[in-house]
Amino acid sequence: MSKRLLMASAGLNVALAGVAMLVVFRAPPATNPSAQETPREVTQKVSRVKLVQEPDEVIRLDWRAIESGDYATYIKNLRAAGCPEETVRDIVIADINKHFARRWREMNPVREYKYWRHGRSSGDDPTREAASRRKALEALLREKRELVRALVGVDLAEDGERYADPSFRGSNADMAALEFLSVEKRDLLRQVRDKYEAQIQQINSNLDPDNYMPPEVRGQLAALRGQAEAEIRESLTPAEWEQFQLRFSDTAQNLRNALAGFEPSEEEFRRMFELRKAVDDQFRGLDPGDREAQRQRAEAYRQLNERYREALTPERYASFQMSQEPAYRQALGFVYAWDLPKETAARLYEVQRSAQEQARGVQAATAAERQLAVERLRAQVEASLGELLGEKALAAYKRNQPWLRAMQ
Amino acid sequence: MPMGVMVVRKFATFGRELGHIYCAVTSFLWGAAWSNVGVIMNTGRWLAASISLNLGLASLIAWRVADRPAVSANAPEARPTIKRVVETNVVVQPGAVVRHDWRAVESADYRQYIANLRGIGCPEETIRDIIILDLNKQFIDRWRAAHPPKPFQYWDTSRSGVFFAAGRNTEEREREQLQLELNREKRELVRELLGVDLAEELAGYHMSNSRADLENMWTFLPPAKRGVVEEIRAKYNDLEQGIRVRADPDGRLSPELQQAIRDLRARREAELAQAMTPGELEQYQLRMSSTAANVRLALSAFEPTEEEYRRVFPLRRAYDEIYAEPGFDRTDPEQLRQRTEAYRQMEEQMRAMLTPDRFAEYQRSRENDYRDAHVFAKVWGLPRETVATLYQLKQAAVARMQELRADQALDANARQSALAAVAAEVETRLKGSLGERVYNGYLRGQGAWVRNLRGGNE
Repeated sequence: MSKRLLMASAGLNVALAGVAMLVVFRAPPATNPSAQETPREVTQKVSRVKLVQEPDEVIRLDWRAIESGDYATYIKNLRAAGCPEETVRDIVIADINKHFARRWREMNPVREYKYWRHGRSSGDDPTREAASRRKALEALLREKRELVRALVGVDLAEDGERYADPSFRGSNADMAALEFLSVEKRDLLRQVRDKYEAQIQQINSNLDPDNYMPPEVRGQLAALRGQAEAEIRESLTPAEWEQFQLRFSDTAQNLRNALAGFEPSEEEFRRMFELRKAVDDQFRGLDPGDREAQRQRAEAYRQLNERYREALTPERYASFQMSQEPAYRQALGFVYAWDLPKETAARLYEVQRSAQEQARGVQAATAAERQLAVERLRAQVEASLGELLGEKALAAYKRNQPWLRAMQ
Repeated sequence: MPMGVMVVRKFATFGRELGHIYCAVTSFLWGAAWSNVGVIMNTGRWLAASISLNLGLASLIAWRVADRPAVSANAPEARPTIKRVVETNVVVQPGAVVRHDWRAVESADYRQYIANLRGIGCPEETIRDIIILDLNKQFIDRWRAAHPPKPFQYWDTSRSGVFFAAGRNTEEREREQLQLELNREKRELVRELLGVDLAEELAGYHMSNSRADLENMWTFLPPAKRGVVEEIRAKYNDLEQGIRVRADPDGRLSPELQQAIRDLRARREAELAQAMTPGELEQYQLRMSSTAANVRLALSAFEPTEEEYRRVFPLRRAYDEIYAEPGFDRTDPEQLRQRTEAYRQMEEQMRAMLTPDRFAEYQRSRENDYRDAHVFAKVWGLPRETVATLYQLKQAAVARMQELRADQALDANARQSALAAVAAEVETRLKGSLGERVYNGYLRGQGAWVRNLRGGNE
């Protein structure tokens, strides 16, 4: 009886061993679907079994147990191994960067290099082919940003510099300008921006190579801009929306540039912003070929200056007017570059204005006498400038100011 | 994958799995029967062992089946980028100490950190990523500590372009200097720790062909020499930048700084000449030198053959040695005059080196009208012959217009109608050559002369 049982059991041993072989050797048919959504390339994959014989052996972390063919598992494994979150992000973002770079290269094979031919960098290549490459690049960049955000919660638009993301275009100033918003709202704004940028790019990609915009395209773009603004406005409180406009609108950016040297107070800036925005909004998307509309626009901006006069004190308005003079703005740049006191810009401007007026008024019987008088004037001007600037800065001023050379 | 490799891999897998089963079985048997060694193995005991083995095998089958992921009917196909999947099974004996902890790997000392990462089998590429991004953050933090971001005030106009039109002030130059130093330090640290070039590593993150383009440019040198040459270039580039940040705000270099740059360049050339054979050095100059960039740009509309380029190159090089060196003062009329004369002489030498037809083409390629037509054809993807057509049409029409304007025998009405006839003919020929859509593009971009012709202005 025992022998028969033993035979039966041995037979079962063989059968089970056969089934076990089958089960073990057959590859799993699929990994889980969520893992397949984020596959990645892996460089080293080995299956192995380790049997620990020594009871006091220390089993160290083994990378092969961590790395995985899909990002979600890879991240899970890294976290389980106690890898700090920042290092998890480094590993995953670097890997994603390289993965997308490879995808781009597969789509854009390297062209034959001929050292005797002039090539353009992709950014300034005006050809249609280059435009199409740029469009594909933008699409990949969006996809990469979304993947990184989904996997490790990093917004490359905000933190790309820390992860050496080559597409990062932000600056400290941009980041600081967004600080009035919560992280969630900043993220929301970027999503709105990305969405509309994609649509704008789609429209732009159908333009002629010289990017000429027919009126109907300008209309489409204006409508998109309106939709984007409405979406942003909806997601912000009224106070945030106001701040957003004061920081990022075209009106605010143009006004900040125009008011260099005037140095407005916050209150002055807000008053001027309101006035200018009304005019900007009225003439946005104007047809450059519509001469009558252009005339009306020029007139509206002339009247805007009058409104500024009403909004500012007489002294401040005079200061504003000077800040609009090209010669003063040039002086401002020079003074800034040479670390001179701000007030020097106004004095430089005054020396130039006065010298040019005197030069125009020189009365002389002959050309030679006139030349002599202008040269005397120039010598006086240089003496005044020398007192203001010092020797080294004066030499640079003479090199770079055509009006002074014109007096030679 | 070649069949042989597949067979070997399958065999290796088989071996590993066999080992797996063997371990499961023997460990079970040892567990069940080891205590009985020395006791007579009668039938009952063999039966017990066999049943135990059955139970062990059944457990193994159940475990493998349960461990297999569920199959989704509509699961998408895996992307081909997945090469292999990790499957590591560690069987741990009671009493073994398991230290699955990153703290055992991480270290404040980068060398130790790298050694630890290697010790756990982390691939070299991943080690580079970890270290480079960690260093990147450290250097960003150092930069930000030196230049903390200012709070944004929307009424602050100090970032207006007006302030940056005349050059960089001391604060900006100091900032640039620090940036240069940090970049250099980071690059050297990466090379020291990982033995790789930081720029090249980061090029792998770029969605561009810059790395491959660079590879193409360097095909004339074996990789080992390339590394040496690149180091020389990087070193002297850093040193020159270090001198340039000491220039005046408008970029002007003092005579001492000019001399320092000349000395530096001479040293660089000497080191390059030592690092390469004469043939390699020639190839290097033809591809990488500033003269090479100048020649390519100057001849872009001429589109030289390789032979023509090589003939022109030494001429331009002799010219650049004087006029592209620091010390040339563009604001000095006498120096400008000398440069113009030297350029004229260089072109005379080119005349002797090119065929008469090609030299005529070269001269034409220097004219603004031809270059404009060349750019237009490039942008619109037109054949090269169109460049000559556009150029000749414009030349002929403008010449004809000048003749008509100078013709005293014509009264105003006759001149006007003759000009209108020229304009009509030009438009017809342009449309014929370009097609309606491209013609409209031409009118928008470069058609001021056609519009003037219509209005009789030019």
